[in-house]
Amino acid sequence: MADTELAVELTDVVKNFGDDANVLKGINLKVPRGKITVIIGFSGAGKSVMIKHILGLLKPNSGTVKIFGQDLAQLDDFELNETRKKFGMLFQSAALFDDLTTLENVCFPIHEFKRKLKKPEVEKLAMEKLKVVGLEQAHYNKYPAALSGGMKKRVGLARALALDPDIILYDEPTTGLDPIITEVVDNLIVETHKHREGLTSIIISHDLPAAFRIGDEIAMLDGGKIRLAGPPRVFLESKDPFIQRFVSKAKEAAE
Amino acid sequence: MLQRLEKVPQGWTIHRGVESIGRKLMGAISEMGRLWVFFFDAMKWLPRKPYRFKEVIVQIEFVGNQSVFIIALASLFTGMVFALQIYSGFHMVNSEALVGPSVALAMFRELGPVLTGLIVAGRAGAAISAQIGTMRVTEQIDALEVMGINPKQYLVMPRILASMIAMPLLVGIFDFVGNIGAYFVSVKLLQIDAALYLAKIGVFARPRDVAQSLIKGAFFGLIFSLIGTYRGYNTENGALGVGKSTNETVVISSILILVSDYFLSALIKMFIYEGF
Repeated sequence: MADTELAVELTDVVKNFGDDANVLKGINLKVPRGKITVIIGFSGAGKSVMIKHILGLLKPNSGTVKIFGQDLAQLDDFELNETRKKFGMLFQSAALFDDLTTLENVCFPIHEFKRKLKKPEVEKLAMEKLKVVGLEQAHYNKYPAALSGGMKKRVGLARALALDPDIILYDEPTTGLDPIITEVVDNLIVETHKHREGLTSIIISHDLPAAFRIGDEIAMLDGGKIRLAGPPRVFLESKDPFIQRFVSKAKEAAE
Repeated sequence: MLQRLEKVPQGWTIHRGVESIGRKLMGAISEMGRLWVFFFDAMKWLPRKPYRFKEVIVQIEFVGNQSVFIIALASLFTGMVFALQIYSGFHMVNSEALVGPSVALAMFRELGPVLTGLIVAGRAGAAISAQIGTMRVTEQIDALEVMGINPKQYLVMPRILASMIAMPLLVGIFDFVGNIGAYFVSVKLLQIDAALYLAKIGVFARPRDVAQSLIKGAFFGLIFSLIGTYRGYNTENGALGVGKSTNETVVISSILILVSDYFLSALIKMFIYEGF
């Protein structure tokens, strides 16, 4: 596989915070371009620390992080800032700006980076994104405090998509949502992925059944290392008892 | 925690006490270092596109405009009570004419910048800290960062810059209104001759006193905005953390304003007053 085929590549990434034990103990991860990759990890496995490395918000103690073949360690603060524009991210809490309305939230990144556009044009673009995630016009002028959890996720996703990113990261997109909304959000992820050619989706989750349902690739993060990575069938065929246990649970849930 | 408490009485010696003082001191010094690194980290974004004119203006409006009324009110009564109190002393030695310059000099050199600093630190400094702290704990700062909008450029730098611009203006208002209050009490209520009152101010108070006022104001603006943004930016633990950051911002800024005022005065005396 050539380098440019990979959206994200982590090689032997080790990270610790001062005197603590290593949080990441040599992570090797390859995320192919244009696919949905689900990273499964349980609490304390180092998921959020790993995301921050992918985004260049944290620097590894050793090892390299490459985004589309570009080593992040060689970039300065200003260039890192530029690289981050390739990413869209949906936060667990949606992280909407609470002093802005729904529409303004989605307009915000467009307005920031396409300064030549006039206000109506920006709003038109934002409305297109809100339509993609299926939010009704009635909610456009509401503030985040007035939106339900599922709706916040939609707005967060529309905002993440606003600048047509190459990579979209989902941090625990379905945690804390009820089963029906969970399925809706899962479908939304798949539809969003199909909507744009070449979009790379990375989902951080602990929902294994969903990983089998929507993931092209799955990686399991455990204790600061990638335990197993590959397409879903690799997991089904795995002899590792730890993985088998979770796979059987996932099968039960699916039935 | 319990274990630690049990250990203390057995091994307690003087050097332990000294050690703990030393550790606290080192902690404070390294915190100071981190504060300045934070400051320069934010300020290096100042000459970078996109320039944050709009945010700076919005913050000047918030720190400055919205403080005008409270500053004017505080300074009016500070000036009035100062004139009243000082008159009773000066009256005994027949030097009522010196009430004007005494109030003016005290206002320009100390009361204006220090009181304005304390009031605005309590109002705007706390608000800055609470706002940035809330954005931190609700992942809004992370969201900015991921979007490729540097939060130090977007949130921190405009607030520091705006405070350093707005504070001298507020100090100017404080000085002016305070002197008006003192004039009113002295001339209208205590029957000091108006011409004498004004003439004596002209004799003693110099432009350099006003300059000192404004320089101090800008510096105190730097103190509370830097601590407010730094504390807010490093907030942890949800709502509790936001409260803690806000509280610490007001306490630390107030103390630093009072302490640094002495050293700043000494420095200004050395450079502006040429050994006077």
